[in-house]
Amino acid sequence: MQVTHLLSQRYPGDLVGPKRWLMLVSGLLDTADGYLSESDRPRIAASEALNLIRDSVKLGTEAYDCLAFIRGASTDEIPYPIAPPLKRWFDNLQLPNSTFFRAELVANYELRPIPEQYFLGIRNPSASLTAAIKQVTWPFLRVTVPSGAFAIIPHLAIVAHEIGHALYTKISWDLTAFSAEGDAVKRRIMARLGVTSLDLSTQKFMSNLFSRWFQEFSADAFALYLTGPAIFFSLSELMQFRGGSYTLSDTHPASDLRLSALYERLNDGGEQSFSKLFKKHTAQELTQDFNSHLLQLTPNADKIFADAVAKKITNEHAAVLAEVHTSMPKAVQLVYDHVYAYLQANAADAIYTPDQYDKDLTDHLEPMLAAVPPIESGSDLRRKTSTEFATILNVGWAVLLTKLPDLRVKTSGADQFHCERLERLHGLLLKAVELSEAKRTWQSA
Amino acid sequence: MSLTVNWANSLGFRHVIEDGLAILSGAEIQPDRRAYVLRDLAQLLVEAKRGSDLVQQSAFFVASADHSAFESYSLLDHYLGRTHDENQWTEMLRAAEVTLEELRKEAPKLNEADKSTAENLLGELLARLMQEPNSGIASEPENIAIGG
Repeated sequence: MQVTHLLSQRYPGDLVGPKRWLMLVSGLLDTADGYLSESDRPRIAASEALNLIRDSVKLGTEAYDCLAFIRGASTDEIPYPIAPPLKRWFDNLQLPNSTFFRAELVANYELRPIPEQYFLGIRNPSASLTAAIKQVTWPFLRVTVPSGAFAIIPHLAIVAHEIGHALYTKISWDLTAFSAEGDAVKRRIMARLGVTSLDLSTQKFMSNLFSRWFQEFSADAFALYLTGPAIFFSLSELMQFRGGSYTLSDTHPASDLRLSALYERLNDGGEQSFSKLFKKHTAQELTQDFNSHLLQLTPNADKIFADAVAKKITNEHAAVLAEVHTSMPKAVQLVYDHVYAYLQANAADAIYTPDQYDKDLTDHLEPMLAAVPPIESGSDLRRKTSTEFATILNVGWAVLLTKLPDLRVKTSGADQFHCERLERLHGLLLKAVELSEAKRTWQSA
Repeated sequence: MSLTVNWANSLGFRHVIEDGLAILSGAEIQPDRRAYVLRDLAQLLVEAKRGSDLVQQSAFFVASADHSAFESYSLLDHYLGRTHDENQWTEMLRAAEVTLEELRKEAPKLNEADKSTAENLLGELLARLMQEPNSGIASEPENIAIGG
């Protein structure tokens, strides 16, 4: 009943992802139903019947988990127009995976790939389950975005970071240039621990930690090349919101290190760099802490080690955290070079360039202040093209961070912190997404 | 952040191991299912062995092409690694893989010691899967954080 009800609902952008997922759930339940019927067979051994009933219960639990997994994917939580441009991003980057987007009331963005294995191997699967598995382009991707304040359009640049995670394994990484530094990290860890070799458990932790941090930098690099300054502003705000102190974990590298890597690239290109163009259009200097004044800088390795030990993290893990952090900047250039080369070779049109940024702010910043959303670009009326999502994100951030008080929209009166203007800005940008998509659909028809 | 799903907790994986054990004990299994189970388990073991080699070489970085190997290794390591030393475990993986590959042939010639190792490995894996609380598809991994 619940699955039937969910299947009858509308999902953002009418994307097929949510329904493909629900068909899998339905297939699990049909299989469980088949087990129950089988357990009722005449003259079945009691032990066999019991196993079938147990397995049907387990499948029921799995189906229920899968329903919980899709919570937040309806149009109640995600605005209808948001999903198509996000999905198009995936498609343009040759990620045809079945995908659904869902929102959750936490300041968190997350990509969760679900491998086919989760649904395979089940004995005597129902025909509906087998068919549902075949319908999916695996791995299934669930993209979580926050609902509430972090769901305003400019923040959705972070979805490009999640796309970066999905693209990570498509790159042939060559870390030869980092191998000497890798050896140096191991030596420093051993020196810190006072040992002459690392045990297997410490090695595993080190390798896992480095891979996870490396992946985060790779996802940041993808987001930078796909959205330009928008990702820098989005990540700055999210990181600042999350931690009053410096942040470092076994899943994420230090926030300030990530921001400095992004900031450095925004300054590439001299007078035509993103940061110079930002200043040209907004009259404000783009500094590394432009949108993250409250974020504390990560201390040196000794202090990281001491803080980690104080938090009851083992000496071995604390040493790995401190020393890998110290060497991470030497891997960053490698990461960005690989990602840029990959995009150039496979999706050059998707790269958001400083030239485009210049054009976007020239065309849309002033009109936006007059409440005209960035729907289309071009001076010739007959040749106007729909704006890209990255354009909308960047125009949105420029207004949000530098011109919000100048946004000429009606407010109810006292709006000391420009909260109402922010809501109006979100509404205008949402309109830009909706109408640029509509125009694109109309033009391609 | 990208989080992986622990598919080992699914009923499908448990069924594959149960059927693998049934095949090892000589039970009749429908041919298509038998071929599927043996192929799936052999692949898991091959990948896990490659992952184990990577870890023993203390690879600092896992290349994209080695990701599935590392994941298969991590999965088995999660359930079995803490009960065996690394050399013993590598030998178990080899013996089980050889046995399963042999069973895929029309006239398998099984080494009894290897077969027994394969039964032990799958039996132990199944027992540990059954002990583990159902973490479900949506579960979050534990993590550690400093600062913040």
